[in-house]
Amino acid sequence: MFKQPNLQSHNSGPNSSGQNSKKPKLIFAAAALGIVGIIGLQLVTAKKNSGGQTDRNAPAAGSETVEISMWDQEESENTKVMDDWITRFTAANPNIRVIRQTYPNEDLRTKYTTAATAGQAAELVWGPNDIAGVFTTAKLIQPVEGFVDVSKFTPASSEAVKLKGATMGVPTTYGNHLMLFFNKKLVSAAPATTAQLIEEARKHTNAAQNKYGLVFFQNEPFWLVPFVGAFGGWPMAFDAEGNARVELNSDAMKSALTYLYKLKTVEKIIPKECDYDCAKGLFIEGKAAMTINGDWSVKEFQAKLGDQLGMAPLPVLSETNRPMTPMVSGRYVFINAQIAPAKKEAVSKFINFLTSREIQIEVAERLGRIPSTSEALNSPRVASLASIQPLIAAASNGRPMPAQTEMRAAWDAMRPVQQKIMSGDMTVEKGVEIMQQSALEKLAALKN
Amino acid sequence: MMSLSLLPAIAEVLRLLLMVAVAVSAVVGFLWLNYKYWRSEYYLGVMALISVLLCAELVLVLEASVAGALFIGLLPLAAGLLFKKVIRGRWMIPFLFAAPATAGVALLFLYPLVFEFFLAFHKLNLETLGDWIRTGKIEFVGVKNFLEVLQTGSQTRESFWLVTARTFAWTGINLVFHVAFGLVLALFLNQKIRGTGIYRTILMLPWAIPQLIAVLAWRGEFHSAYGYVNHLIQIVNETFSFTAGSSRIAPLEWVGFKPQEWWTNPHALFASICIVNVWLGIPFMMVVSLSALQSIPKSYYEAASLDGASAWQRFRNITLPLIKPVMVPSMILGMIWTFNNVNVVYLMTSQRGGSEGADILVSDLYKQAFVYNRYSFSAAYAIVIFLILAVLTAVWMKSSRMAEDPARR
Amino acid sequence: MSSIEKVGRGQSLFTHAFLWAACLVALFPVSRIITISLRPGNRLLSSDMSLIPDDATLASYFNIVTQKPFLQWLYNSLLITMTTSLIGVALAASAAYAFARYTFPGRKSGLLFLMTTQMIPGAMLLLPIYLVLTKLGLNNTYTGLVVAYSVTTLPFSIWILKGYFDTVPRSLEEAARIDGCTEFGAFYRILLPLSKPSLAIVFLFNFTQAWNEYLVASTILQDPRLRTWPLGLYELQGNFNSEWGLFAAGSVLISVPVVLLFLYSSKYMISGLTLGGVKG
Repeated sequence: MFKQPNLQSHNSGPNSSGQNSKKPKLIFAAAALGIVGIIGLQLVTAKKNSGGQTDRNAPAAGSETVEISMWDQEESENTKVMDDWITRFTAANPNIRVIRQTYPNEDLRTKYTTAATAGQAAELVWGPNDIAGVFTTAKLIQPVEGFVDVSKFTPASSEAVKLKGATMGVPTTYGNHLMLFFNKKLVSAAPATTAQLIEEARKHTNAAQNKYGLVFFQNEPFWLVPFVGAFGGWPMAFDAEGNARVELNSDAMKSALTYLYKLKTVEKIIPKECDYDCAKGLFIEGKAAMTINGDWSVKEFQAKLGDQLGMAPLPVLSETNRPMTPMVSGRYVFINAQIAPAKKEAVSKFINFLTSREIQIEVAERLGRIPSTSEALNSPRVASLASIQPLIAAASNGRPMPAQTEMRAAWDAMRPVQQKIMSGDMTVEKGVEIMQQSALEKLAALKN
Repeated sequence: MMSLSLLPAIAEVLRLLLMVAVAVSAVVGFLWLNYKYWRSEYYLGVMALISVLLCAELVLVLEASVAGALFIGLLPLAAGLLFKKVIRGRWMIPFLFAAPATAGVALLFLYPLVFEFFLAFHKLNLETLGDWIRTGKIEFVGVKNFLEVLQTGSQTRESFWLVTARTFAWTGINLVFHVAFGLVLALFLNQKIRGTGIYRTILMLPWAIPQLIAVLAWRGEFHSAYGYVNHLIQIVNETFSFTAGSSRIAPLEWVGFKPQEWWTNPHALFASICIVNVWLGIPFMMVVSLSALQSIPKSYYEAASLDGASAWQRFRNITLPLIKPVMVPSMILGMIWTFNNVNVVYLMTSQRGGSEGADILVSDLYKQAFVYNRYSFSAAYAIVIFLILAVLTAVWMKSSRMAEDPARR
Repeated sequence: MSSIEKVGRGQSLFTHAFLWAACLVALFPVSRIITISLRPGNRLLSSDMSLIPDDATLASYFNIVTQKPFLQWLYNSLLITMTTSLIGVALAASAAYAFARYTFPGRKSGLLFLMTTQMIPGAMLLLPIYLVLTKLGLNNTYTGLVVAYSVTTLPFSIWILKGYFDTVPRSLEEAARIDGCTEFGAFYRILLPLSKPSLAIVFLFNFTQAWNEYLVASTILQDPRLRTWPLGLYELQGNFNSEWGLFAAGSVLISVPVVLLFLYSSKYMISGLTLGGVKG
């Protein structure tokens, strides 16, 4: 069956040449040296390429151009503004080049950690505060005190990246918090309490017609936390040294979950199932009277609803008479732990530019976010901006979002349980126990 | 309007082609020189010299670690010994032909495998990542990671065995439906009817559409309020229900055929992922079946018809045995692909790694590695998954007698 | 095409009905993507169920081409994919030739190893491949992507091609060898032209793999100018404010050429996919 390969005959050529005279030996030696040379050259050039990242900025002094990379996960509307800032910055600092790139969602974190393993990660990361915990645990970022005067930031905005006393990120915007949006065509004034909200929402709910009084991302813990706060709890507790402790198995958590479940099953003012896009879609279409969404959606809602859009802080929870407390953080710039010494000055310049009065006012005017520095926040221009004031009002009831790795474990532990409770597959009592246990396990898993 | 940058890209592609050509000719040339000169009395000496030079360069110029330099640097000497003692000038043609591909596979499959084995016995996670990057040192932990993988799990993390069982169910369900539907469609398409070309074209669409796009579109359809799936279920239920007296009787709802909360209920979610993957995989099996069917000589059927065999008998006694040799390797491959299909599960179970309860082994693995940064744990996990799959494949191949000679002509 | 038998009228009707139903299922999500791409604004999930929305508009198509570097993404993808496919086919064909036509030590185990590579969970290769490519200085380059793609598809390609080569009679090559043709000549002039269907399949397989790949691309590429379309489109559907209309429009535009290529080569597919090979 098998082909009897004509092996022997093919090799007659090469075999015979070995016995030849001196000439082939010379060729042989030359070829061998050639191979050595090629391998060497290849390796040397490869080394140069991969080492380029660090080499090319070695002499920062003089006219040499310094390159800084910054990775973000912003939406394209915002990146246009950021690109404009970068253009202005490089115009003023011709020897610094800033390369900005967007990686959506989780990709930013994954990309950064992977790139860091090969020493290819960007100098700067522009992202949410929870990056601080994860990257600090992995020792991938460094405190920012040496790069910028941290006293110029509002305490609330720098609080969300404080880890054991050190500020791990540069606040650039403040907010990222949930607030209440309502359609003025359907609801005349914002409900101040949840009792009013439920009453108002009932009027606009008709599941058969796919109309609801209130819609929000009901299975996501970020939307649960304001209720927990209003019941007097918080997912995280801190000791005197600033160490975080996960606290999910609390009475407040139980009450909040029960409350949320009742909104769906007893009050029936929210849809049976609704994720982020669904909630946004219904509200924009005018099929939902009210929605809970973040400050990041203001621009889009304004564009779609125009004058009909109403904004208000989250209401006071009638049961406890306490306001709902959204988590507040913002956007931060984190600095790579392994930054080349030659780049430090450029990085510092760029960060100070981003937190300058001029840019921070633009944060309010163009990004539609709350500035992170006191100077800009108290400036008359920001104070007179009608678009920013509702955001500031809504943030005033909030609490800073913990940046510790513990919070990440808590999110991951809460999400599946919240889903199960909301779909009626698990009791609240059992759910909170599992949440707590799962958070601790996930935390342990992150650490070993 | 963004400006296009076309030329630099083409320049890079040309450089790339040149690079590949150089790499290929370097590998082939190196082998060829060995074949040419392995009998020379200086042969081993020169190879040793190359080895020494390479080691020196690696250590002195490139600042590689001594162990690494020895490993790479001694390769030419090893090759020399191999040529002198084992190969002795034989098998030149097949080696030259296979060399470039072998080099590529060694670089991007073999080395990564070795690397993963290394990781699996060490401790690389979020906490040790920074230190590893800086110092290159990680703690050796032995088989601890493997033990952790095999843990029966707790109340919170799904047990490894449960996920494994689900993975088997997932693979089985998908494979059965892929083959059944694929074969039936192929049988229909193989008939003498009008428009087979058009049918075949349309039926190939699920394979042709980029997966990312198809899966995300499906995900939208499974939304409980806005998706077509629940909408359709409702319509079907309305059609088959009737009113007796004052109560509405919908027989289909008794067997659980009613609108589901596909995204939140883990069982429904798992079902929806299966449906999507079945949809995606049918065309491949259809094409394989069709190619097998068309290779059966028509005369067999004619002879059988003359003997008065029924359609079922013809299928049973001619078609099945004749397409089996093509179908079995494809089915094994299909099994491997389904078992390792992380894309569909990952995209369907919310891309942020939220819902558990519908994870299969590889999607769980992906989350452990890239969401929780548990590199070592997931390396051990990957090895365990690989072993399960290897055993599964080996058993199947053995039972279908493919193992006699995997390289059968 | 060899069809089996003549079909009765009733049976033919049933066949048509069944195939029609199957086609509907196959077309279903496609129609939905088209619907979304025609919607104004950014609604993926809208309670609107009509196939073509009342307020249908081509704005999304216009916007994605003008506001996003969509053409650049397409161009990058096309370039990377074409190069990958060419290199992949060339490497696989020569290796498959060795496996199909010669016996040598390591042949069996080599084939087995190629089979085993299919069993490695793909995600696990990501980090080491990235480290290797970075060491070679191929981080953030087309070259890195092309190398990664053309090698990772090699095992499957080799298997397919080897299966097909096995079905091609050896006598032709042997005749050519007797006429003084070299091994390479026999391979290049005789075997390859005879193996067009399977080469087309392997080319297509490489093409679709590289065309659709996301994970490796997102790991290796950093420069936005180098981005391939999956990276670009994924970014569109990325953040909380997803631009679903643009995503859908981009999806349609991207699917059209691949689907056409796929369907064009489907005739090869029937004859070229010979995994075990009954024909030998």
